[in-house]
Amino acid sequence: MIGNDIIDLRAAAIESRIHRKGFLEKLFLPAEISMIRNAAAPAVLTWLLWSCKEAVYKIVHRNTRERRYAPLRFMCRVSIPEIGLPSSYSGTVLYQQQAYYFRSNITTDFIHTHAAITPQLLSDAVVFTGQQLNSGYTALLHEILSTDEVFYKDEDGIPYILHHGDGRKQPVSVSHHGEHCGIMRIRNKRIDIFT
Amino acid sequence: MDKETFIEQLREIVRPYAKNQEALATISTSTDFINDLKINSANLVDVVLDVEEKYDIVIQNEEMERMLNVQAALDIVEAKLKEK
Repeated sequence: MIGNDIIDLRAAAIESRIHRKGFLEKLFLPAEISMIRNAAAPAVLTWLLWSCKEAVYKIVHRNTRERRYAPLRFMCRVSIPEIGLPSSYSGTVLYQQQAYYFRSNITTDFIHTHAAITPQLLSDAVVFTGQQLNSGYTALLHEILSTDEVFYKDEDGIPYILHHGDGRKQPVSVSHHGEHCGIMRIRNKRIDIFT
Repeated sequence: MDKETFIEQLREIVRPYAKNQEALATISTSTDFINDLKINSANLVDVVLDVEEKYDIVIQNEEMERMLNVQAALDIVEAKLKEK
């Protein structure tokens, strides 16, 4: 199972007041809050951790079909990143004793986090990001789907890619915020022919 | 506090965060904050904090977990005000 989340840093700065009383305490655990407070760029770390929780929430929601606003049940562990932007972070999110694995790419404009239930699935996934003014993720989706693939959401709003040829359905994760959108899908297995 | 008063007050609380202003105009107990009003999940915490400030109550994490729609918000606030 996979999940991704994108955060437009400019939109986030306008839409949220991360310094308002109680904001961090309702969304983050004490260890996460001290990471944020000790960070060189607290806002970036806030949104990094939030995107991790969101990406993993999407996996959990896909599995359980239960909607819950329970950010404190997700515990982020981030490995020490390389300094400088754009940069890449990785780590785990613990939810109900289950570890989920994530990777995040941070640019000056956005944070894109993708997560999976195993490290193998995380490395088998392919991610895409795009900048769209109004269309959300639709335009990016059209670029990545092949001609025999169709995107759909089921009755719980969970997105899939349906393959016309063999009727197979694959999970896909879509995300958009502000001007940015992100998509995560599982790599199509190629049949290699050795001659 | 009656239901209509609460809904009117809640409408003003969520107004800055609702991306779907049409759904805001027809807000009712069945309105979902995320699916209908298109409130960003990162802003749902602002709704919780604003409701706490408006009614001078503290919403516990377990209550916040289910505060996804107007009816749930109404139930939580009513229960908290009765405790006072």
